[in-house]
Amino acid sequence: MITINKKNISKDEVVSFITNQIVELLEKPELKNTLTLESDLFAAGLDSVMIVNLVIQLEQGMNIFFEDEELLADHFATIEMITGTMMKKLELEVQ
Amino acid sequence: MIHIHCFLDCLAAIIKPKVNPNPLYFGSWDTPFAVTEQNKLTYYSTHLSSEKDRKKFETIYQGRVIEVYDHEMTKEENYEHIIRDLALLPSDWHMVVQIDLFYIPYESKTYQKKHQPHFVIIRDDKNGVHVHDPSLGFEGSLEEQIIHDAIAQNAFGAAYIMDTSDIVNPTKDNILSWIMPTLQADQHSLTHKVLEMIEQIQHGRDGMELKSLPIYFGDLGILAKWKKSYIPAFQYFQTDNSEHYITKVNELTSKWNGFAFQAIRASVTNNTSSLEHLKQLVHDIEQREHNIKSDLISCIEQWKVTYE
Repeated sequence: MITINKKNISKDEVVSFITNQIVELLEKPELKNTLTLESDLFAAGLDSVMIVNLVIQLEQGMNIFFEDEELLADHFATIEMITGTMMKKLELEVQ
Repeated sequence: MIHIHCFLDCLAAIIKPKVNPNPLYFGSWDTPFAVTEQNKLTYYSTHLSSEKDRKKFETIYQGRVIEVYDHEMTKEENYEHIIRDLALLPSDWHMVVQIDLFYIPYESKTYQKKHQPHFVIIRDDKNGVHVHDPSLGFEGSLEEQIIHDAIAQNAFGAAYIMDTSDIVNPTKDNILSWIMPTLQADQHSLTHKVLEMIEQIQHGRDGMELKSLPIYFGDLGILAKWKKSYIPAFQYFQTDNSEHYITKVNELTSKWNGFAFQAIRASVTNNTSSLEHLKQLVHDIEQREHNIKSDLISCIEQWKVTYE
């Protein structure tokens, strides 16, 4: 697993990290070039067990933590939404 | 209109032009669920039926719901009967059928991925079959072959015809006689069952294991959504200031969804100690629902005074 230094991370790197994790969880490498920021991840096959696995990967890979209240499927509908949450967490960490 | 329970959402969409549909949802907060042989909490089973909802519709609105699915016949024969009946329906009659979402292309979450029984309203259409799905927000024509597969390949099966020609707005007595028995303060069947299952895992009883939590609680999101049925009740009895209560109900369903994710996290990380945390979450959820029921009873008491 790749660990990224959160103090130097850009939005593009976050998007790339999330996309890689999702493609791996879905076991569909062909999606790497077709998933966009707005793609419906549930339509792509993401389910609640995969979301939790994704959360664990994001927590471990970027040294952040998701609160109970944040673990709702609606927050993981697109890469854009996940990236937004991640960037807020990383910004908070930097402060 | 919010969407809570696919069968009731269909009935509500049908009667809405004539009467207030909110009472249809009264009591659905404690809709019965089943537990499969694999210990999965589930909202559908051959042991469950829509009989109680059908009776509720007939009691409250004086309408008629006729079951047309015959479990003694084959699925193919049932499909043929449904299509035949559809062509003969008078304008004030409506057909509600159970389909398997696996075959339905407009729902990408389940199409060709997951078998999931679901109710929709159908009627005859020259381009195939006209489908109105109030829960998933779809209305349009689908090819007859799609409807055939969704009905004939469904592992379960149900179909109803509704006669709405003589439905009436419910009386105060009808409303009260239906809703009051559903508001018993100590009636928390879902939280009690979930707590029991967590304790079975903790004590290693009945072969239940931490790693299977995602299976046991896989339908919890749908069961939690039924708790939103408190919302139309508050809107009905507390017309001026229902927002405060609606927020509390939405928080309740969010807590259930959060619990389901925490359960998966406990399973994925194989963290036995988190079972105590899960139990605390369930106790918190139960207290929240207890408070919501108490609030609703207070609203009904006020409504009774205003109504008189």
